[in-house]
Amino acid sequence: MKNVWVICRKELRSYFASPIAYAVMALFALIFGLVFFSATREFVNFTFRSQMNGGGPPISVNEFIIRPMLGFAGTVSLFLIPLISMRLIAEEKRNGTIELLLTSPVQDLSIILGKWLGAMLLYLFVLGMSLLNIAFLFAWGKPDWKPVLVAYLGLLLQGGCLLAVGTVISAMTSNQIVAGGAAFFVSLVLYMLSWFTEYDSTTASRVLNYVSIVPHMENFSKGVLDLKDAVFYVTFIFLALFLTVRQMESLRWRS
Amino acid sequence: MAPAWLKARQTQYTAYASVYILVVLAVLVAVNFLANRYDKSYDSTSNKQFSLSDQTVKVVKGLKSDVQLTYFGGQNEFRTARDTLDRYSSLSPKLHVTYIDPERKPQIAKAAGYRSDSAVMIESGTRRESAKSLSEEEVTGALIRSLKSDERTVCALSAAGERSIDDTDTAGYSLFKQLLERDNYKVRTETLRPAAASANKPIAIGQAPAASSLEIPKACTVLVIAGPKNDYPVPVINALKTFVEAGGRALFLLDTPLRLGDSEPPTENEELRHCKQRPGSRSQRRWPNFPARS
Repeated sequence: MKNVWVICRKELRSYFASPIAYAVMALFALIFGLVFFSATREFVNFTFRSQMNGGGPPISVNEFIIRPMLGFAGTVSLFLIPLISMRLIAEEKRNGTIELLLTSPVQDLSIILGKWLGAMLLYLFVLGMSLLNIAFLFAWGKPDWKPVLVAYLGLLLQGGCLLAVGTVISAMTSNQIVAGGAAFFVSLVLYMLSWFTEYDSTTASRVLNYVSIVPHMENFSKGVLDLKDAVFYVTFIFLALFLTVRQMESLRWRS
Repeated sequence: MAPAWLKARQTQYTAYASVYILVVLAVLVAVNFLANRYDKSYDSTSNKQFSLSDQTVKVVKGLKSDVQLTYFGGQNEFRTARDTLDRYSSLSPKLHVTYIDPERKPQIAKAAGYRSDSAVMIESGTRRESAKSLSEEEVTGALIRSLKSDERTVCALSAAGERSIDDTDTAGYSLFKQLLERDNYKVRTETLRPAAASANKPIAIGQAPAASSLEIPKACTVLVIAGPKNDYPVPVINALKTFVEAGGRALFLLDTPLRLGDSEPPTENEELRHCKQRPGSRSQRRWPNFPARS
């Protein structure tokens, strides 16, 4: 576990030593800020219109602003996560430091876990940029805080899945651009699977819809912590990291 | 002798890794299957916005056979519908939810029992029940109705020139029959039959029934008396009275008294008037006001 933490810190430091971390955080903050502005403006307009029409049922800030906004954050992460994951192992391969890692007295699992955790911490920082906007809502409104926590947990798990996929792909190539492009493509497929299968009732459609990462985020974004969704994300991360370890292991016996 | 490539280190490692990956994959699939099968959820909203009532949970978890729940609406409304219907399907693997856009898939929608006045159609075995909206009360109510196995029969009385439920003319009530059958009622014409086993012939219109020997079958959930043209004889009135007094329900549909070309409406019978003046009992007696002969 100590080795995992050492590699994780080293990975995080290397992110902040390059422009990647700052670029990803800035991009996310910009896009999220625009969405926040748009959603809040719509909410205020809707409230005014409602009052002018003699009022109506109370409008939930969670349902009107936070839920769609955090749902959108998941979509944005689809584009940003390949930027984080592309260098994880591909860079080690390109620099020739992978041999050092593989021959060091550290288990493959520790290396992979450390690198993935480092990427997760960066993703956590990226998501942290959105807290500023959410803080405004808490300052001037009364949102329900528990669903917000659950939604962030869902975003973390979804991001963890995409990062794990990116880690596997990064372990397969020494070219960062290829790793990033392939990770984006696979993430996009995982994202879009539900578009065509979401409301079909055939068995094949149900299976494909289940494999997609989007439907599992639905409950989290509503504030509902569902066992099957959490299990899906955790097992998905486990499988992707397991495949990465096998890929690393194969580097030894394939050479 | 095995070929050399089979003994090669790379082949052996590839086989080992493949088997290892397949085993792990199978375990993970099983874990996901079990998580779906025994799903639990925690609604963190303060007003439990996404939770179902205990009654609904009890009904859905207690399903013994497959139930098909079909939502009809535009594709842009599916997401809203899912917020409600997913809560049902997550409670029991026996409840299946399908979403159909009637405009895009009219044939499938028609086959699934689409009605413009229903948002959700629930099918349990041969029974179909509709919910008019997506509210939990409506959906659970329709689900409970669809699970009831008892037959409900609407009997249309035919004893004094009433309108026929099989008549497809404008004066006929065939459409009424269709609507009832769509709501899982069995509909039949009831010609009052003598209570005594010896006199088992039905009483035709205009025929004088045997005194005090008629009865309305207990299988009739509701008795519909649709526009009688003639006065009911005393035995028929007694049968009606006995039926209602015993808890039966009767629905009287009377034509307006002044219609050119029609024969005179039946007189208000004293017995029926007597019943009308005693409303509110458990059997929900509701006798109509027979128009008095002028």
